[in-house]
Amino acid sequence: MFLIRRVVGESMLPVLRQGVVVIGWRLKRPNVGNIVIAKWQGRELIKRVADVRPDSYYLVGDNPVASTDSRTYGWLPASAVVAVVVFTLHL
Amino acid sequence: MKLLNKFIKPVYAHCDVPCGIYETDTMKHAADTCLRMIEKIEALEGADKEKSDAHNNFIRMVVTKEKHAQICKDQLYLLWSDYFKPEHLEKFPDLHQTFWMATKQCGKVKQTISRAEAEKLVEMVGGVATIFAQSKQ
Repeated sequence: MFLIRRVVGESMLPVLRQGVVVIGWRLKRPNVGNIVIAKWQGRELIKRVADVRPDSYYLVGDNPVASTDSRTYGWLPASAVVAVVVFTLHL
Repeated sequence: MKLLNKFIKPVYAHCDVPCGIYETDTMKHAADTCLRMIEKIEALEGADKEKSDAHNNFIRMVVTKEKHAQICKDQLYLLWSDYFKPEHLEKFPDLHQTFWMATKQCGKVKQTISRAEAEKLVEMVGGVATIFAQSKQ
């Protein structure tokens, strides 16, 4: 039910820099402000939930000038959200 | 670290900006738009050349304010995300709040023609400059 991933890219700066290890929890329903791991176009992304609808999420990077997110690809279905980040390891 | 990278799957905080791709279509489109707008202004019914010029100057000033407020915002984001590191937070615990409020103030300056809001932004950016200078000592 947990998953472990390492961050690649800079769209979540300053909170998550490249190389940070994150732990995601699959069973939690995301709320606005949560950092989530979502699947889009075959790869897993890490973004923050900016808005919630009953069946979809609007995800935006913390570093909007270097982030491709819902501002480009729109709302993601709830099924695309894989896990909520519950722990980060700054190694 | 390399071992860690081998075993832990990546998750992408990605950006699709096509860095290194250059083209001239955008500038051509922009120049064509400028010409088309002037043609449309000239064709406005009852257009007064003198008044139009004064109005044009006013709008240019607003547009310049808008553009520079955005430059200020972009520069704040850049310094915040790329220059400052987690260790700076120990020395400047209000760092995130300072940058957050300054970027919001850029929006206020865009929304209003208010000397007070612009002065507040100048003051906030001065605060950021002080933190930046101190971080280098």
